[in-house]
Amino acid sequence: MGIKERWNSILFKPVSIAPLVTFRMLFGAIMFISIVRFWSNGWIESQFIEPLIHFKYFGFYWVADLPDTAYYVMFGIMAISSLGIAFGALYRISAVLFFLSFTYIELIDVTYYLNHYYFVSLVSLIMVFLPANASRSVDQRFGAIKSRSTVSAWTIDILKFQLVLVYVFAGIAKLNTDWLIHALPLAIWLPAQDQLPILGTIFKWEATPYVFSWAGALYDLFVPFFLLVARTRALAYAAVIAFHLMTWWLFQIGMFPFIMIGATLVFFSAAFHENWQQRLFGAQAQSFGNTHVPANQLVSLSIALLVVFQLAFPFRHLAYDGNPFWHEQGYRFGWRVMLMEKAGYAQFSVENEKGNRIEVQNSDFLTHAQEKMMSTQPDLMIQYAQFLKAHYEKAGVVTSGVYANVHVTFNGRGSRPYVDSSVNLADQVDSWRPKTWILPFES
Amino acid sequence: MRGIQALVAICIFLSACKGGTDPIDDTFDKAAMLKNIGNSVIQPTYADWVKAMNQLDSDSKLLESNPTIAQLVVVQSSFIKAYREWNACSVFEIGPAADVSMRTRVNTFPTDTAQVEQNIASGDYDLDGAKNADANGFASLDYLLFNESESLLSDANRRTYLLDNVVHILKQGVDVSDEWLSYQSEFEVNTTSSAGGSISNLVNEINYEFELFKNARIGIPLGKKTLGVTQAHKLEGYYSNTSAALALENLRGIQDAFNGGTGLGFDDYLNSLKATKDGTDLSMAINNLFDQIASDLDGANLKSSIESNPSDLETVYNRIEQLVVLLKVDMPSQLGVQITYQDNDGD
Repeated sequence: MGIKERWNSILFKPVSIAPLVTFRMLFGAIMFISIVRFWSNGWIESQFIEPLIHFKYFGFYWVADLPDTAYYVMFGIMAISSLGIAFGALYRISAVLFFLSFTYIELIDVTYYLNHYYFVSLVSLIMVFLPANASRSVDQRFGAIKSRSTVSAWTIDILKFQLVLVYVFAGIAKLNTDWLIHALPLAIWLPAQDQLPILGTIFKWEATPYVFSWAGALYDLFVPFFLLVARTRALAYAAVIAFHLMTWWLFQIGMFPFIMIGATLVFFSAAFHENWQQRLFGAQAQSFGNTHVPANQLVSLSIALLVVFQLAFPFRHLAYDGNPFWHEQGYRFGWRVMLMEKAGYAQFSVENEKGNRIEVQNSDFLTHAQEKMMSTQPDLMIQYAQFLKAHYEKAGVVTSGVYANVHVTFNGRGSRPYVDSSVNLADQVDSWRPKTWILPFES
Repeated sequence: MRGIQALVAICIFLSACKGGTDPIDDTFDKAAMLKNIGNSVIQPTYADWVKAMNQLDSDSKLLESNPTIAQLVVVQSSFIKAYREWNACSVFEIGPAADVSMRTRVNTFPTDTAQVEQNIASGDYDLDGAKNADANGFASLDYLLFNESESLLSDANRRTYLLDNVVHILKQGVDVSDEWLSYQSEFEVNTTSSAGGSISNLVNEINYEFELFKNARIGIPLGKKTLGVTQAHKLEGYYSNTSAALALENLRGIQDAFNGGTGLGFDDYLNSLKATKDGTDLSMAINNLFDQIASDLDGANLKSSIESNPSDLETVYNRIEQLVVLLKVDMPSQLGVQITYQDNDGD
């Protein structure tokens, strides 16, 4: 068998649809809860409506801010379409709408970037192409889609791949001196939680951050493989639950732990999923037609491209000199989470043609959250400088340059200058090229 | 299974070689620090302010019935005393003070003199109304008492406006210091480092107040936001020419909040974490800058410096900028406090 045939036989082997059905239900439900939580926390207002400006993702400058009410409409679409996914009601339309509305909202402001939002965008895009509504769904009950008991293996394996990727890359990112040798940033974060009952006492011990750091790295690197193997799966899933509940309890990380606890169930056997679905929803009464799906070269090629891209893209930081935690070039979309305690302060100055300066008070233009992110992320500094230039020119100041005095601390080391304060940041154009005005990090 | 065994083995190995269960520091107690800051700094600072306000209140009432130059001088001096005491309280915009936006209520400066005059002329005003947000409080008193102050003696309406403002500020002071007593216990036990915890609130307010110190009290009058064109009239205490003394009290309030007075404070907390900056203890680096800035301001006259020799203030301004970085970047990062509610990247 050639490579192509082997690849196709892996991808298109018929397997039970049950794991995919569970995934659909849980993903939709957790997304629905996330949307409701976001809304009821008042974050639509504070994260999208209140800010004067929004920082854009590189390459997505065209994403326009929306009128105030449109944000609520978008979240309404997300809420309804996530239920559509969960129930398998107008599933494909729901998946498309969810992917588009969720991703558009994420692209409004890079301030709120989280790896798990990227994960949700990727998964919801993939779900558009999965026949996850072909069993135990509203669509199937009403005959909008033919019932199926089996699907091609790729539809489930692609989700497993996505999850393995998140864990393994998060693990690889932990293989650095700060994490392994200095137990940073956990040596800062855990003692800060010493008021907690029981665990608080343990957090005062010097060894604790080391144990947590190493356990965290080993967990991320190996748990997906223990999930893949039937013999270790139950124990690995217990570890999944324990690990994510612990991080949820300790850190301000929102819904991510629940997404992972729900999503990793996809590793369990078809029998496991059929079993609980039958208990809850009864036996599938419908007779199944021919569910054999022939190999499809377009699908096969798309999956190959997606896999290669996802394996390569997180490594792009290697193309830049210096410490990626410091300069953050190629940092996002790399499953690098909870790896650093970083804070900064950026004093921007707008200079006129006579060399006189206006010192900018960031709180005049940015929210707390935006200022915090801008003060440590160079691409946001460029956007901010350009905004300031435009703002002051509009106010009648003949602007010759926008400069920044930035100090950043990283993993508890004393703050140090971050950018060359003689560089006119408003003149910089963001690109893939190294930003030479970021001062090197010497430890 | 082998993976789990290996993991346990590594944990045991690490605990054995890294000092095991030795506490990083078993003496530092966050609840005790909060208790101290509340009891020994915030409450007494409020009490001093209320005391000075009561004095100002009774002196102003005497002026009302006895409008003489001598009594005016008495009121002017008790005003300066009360304004200084307020400046030490300004940093504590948490709990009951945050609920009423105390800073904006009692000390929005510079004052809108036209609005003040209009209020006096019409005799119809609500000091808590949005329209009068910058025509009330200490800044309006500063104007009334030190700008053509003799007109206070001849114009009963001016004296009424003065007294109304004094009474208004006094009420805020009495209320907040009463409410703090019942808030104190809630404040002490809220030791989480998450957003909304007392530690996070204090760190945020120390920073917010110090940025106000840098910008509103010095930077803006010095022309830092206006292309170097100075704006002395935007100084706090411009009419009484007490800007440096007020700024000094403000600085003292912030430094006391940081040190917990002479008891447990953020200095001790940082020391327990062995936080350093360029080889010295971070707490010491912070206190050194506080002390240097205070000695630069001691005896200074901000109004005349800004009007005639603004470059004299560059040294102190530069130190203030250095201290902003230590307070806003190094301190919160060492303490691991969260300053915003939004979700972080999770693992």
